[in-house]
Amino acid sequence: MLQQFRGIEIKALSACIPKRIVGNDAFEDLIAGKELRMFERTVGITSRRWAEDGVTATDLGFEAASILFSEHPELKENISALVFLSQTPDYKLPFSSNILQDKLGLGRELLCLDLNAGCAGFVQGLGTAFSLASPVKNGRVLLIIAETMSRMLSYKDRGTTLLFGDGAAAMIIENTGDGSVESAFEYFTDGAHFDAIMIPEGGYRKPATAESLIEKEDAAGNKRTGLNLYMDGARVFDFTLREIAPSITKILTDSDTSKDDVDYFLMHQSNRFIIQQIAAQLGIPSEKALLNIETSGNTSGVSIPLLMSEKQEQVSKGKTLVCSGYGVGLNWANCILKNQKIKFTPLQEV
Amino acid sequence: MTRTAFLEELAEELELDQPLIEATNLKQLDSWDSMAAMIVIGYVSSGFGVTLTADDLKGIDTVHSLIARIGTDKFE
Repeated sequence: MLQQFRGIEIKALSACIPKRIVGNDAFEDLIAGKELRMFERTVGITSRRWAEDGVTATDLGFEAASILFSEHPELKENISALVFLSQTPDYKLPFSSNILQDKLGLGRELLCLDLNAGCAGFVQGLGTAFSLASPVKNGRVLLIIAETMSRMLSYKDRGTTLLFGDGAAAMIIENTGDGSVESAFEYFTDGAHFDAIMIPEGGYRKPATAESLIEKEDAAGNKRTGLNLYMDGARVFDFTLREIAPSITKILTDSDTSKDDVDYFLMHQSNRFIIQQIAAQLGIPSEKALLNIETSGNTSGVSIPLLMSEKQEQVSKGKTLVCSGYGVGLNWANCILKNQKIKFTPLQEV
Repeated sequence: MTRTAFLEELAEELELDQPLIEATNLKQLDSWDSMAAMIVIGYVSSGFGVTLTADDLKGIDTVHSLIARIGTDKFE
């Protein structure tokens, strides 16, 4: 599905990360020596940020939004929708967006919506926010993406525990009507692989029981419970190398955009090797594929706005950007943002 | 590239203590895992312009079969 917009902008964006730095040395019982060197050479992560105990995704999201409104108080007025995107909400119900509406002091005449989306989530959430802003004159949407991925990991599973980090981003999307601002979005899905990345228990298909808390060892020696994140790394790896580059080529073609006209490609920060392979498949210079995975890890849907925040000098002034998210679902989604003049706040530790 | 140079470079990329020969079964190496697979894919991509998928890797076991997948015409 191709969505195209004109005059819908990301007005401002703030991002924050927890203060707590977790280096790879914290996992020395799990991986060390040559294996760790290989991990750092390929996946490219040397440290990540993990929230302190008791801090939730809504706490991080609240901080990101508060930073945004502190810098741009005028953007807090006339918000017509609040979209909160996370896989680590406070509760199964109600929406975490309801909690944030009250905590942020937003009005009651507001659509609150939670999206349980993962690594493709930034593009999915941004497209949703653009759609919500589009039919409303001067429509303004608050999109908050926040994750505490560290909460769902088994620290005895080498397939996941080194990969993920925590963080949050908040942004205001506005229908400004500026015809020079264009964007296009495309979405893809393959539900046949719904079980490639999942938390298998704790929903209503397999409700949590005492058994769910018992660690089990898989063939590779990894241990996790039914409530921990599971990832079939080989299947996900193959999916990303097979699907992402052709899908980016497709959106470039569908929106009459040459890859040479793209200033930067912001790909989901899942794995440095994969990002570099996608860049090679696309035939783009590696410096156009921005990276921050080394010290952030994979922060799921937060990764692209966090990357934007860290590289704000490069992406803020009317550049043509391609964003690509891919992961759980399996879902993948791409967008092209042209001439966005995003106001950034400095990345903050909270 | 000569096959000898390829064997030496691949062993270096994989940080192997033992030299590789064409009959070496990569998947029987103690250190073979998904990261080693990434290193092989990356090395083959940058060195030969050939993109290996995980499916390709399923069909590859020995270094000889890897050379065949890359294309014997790419070796002297």
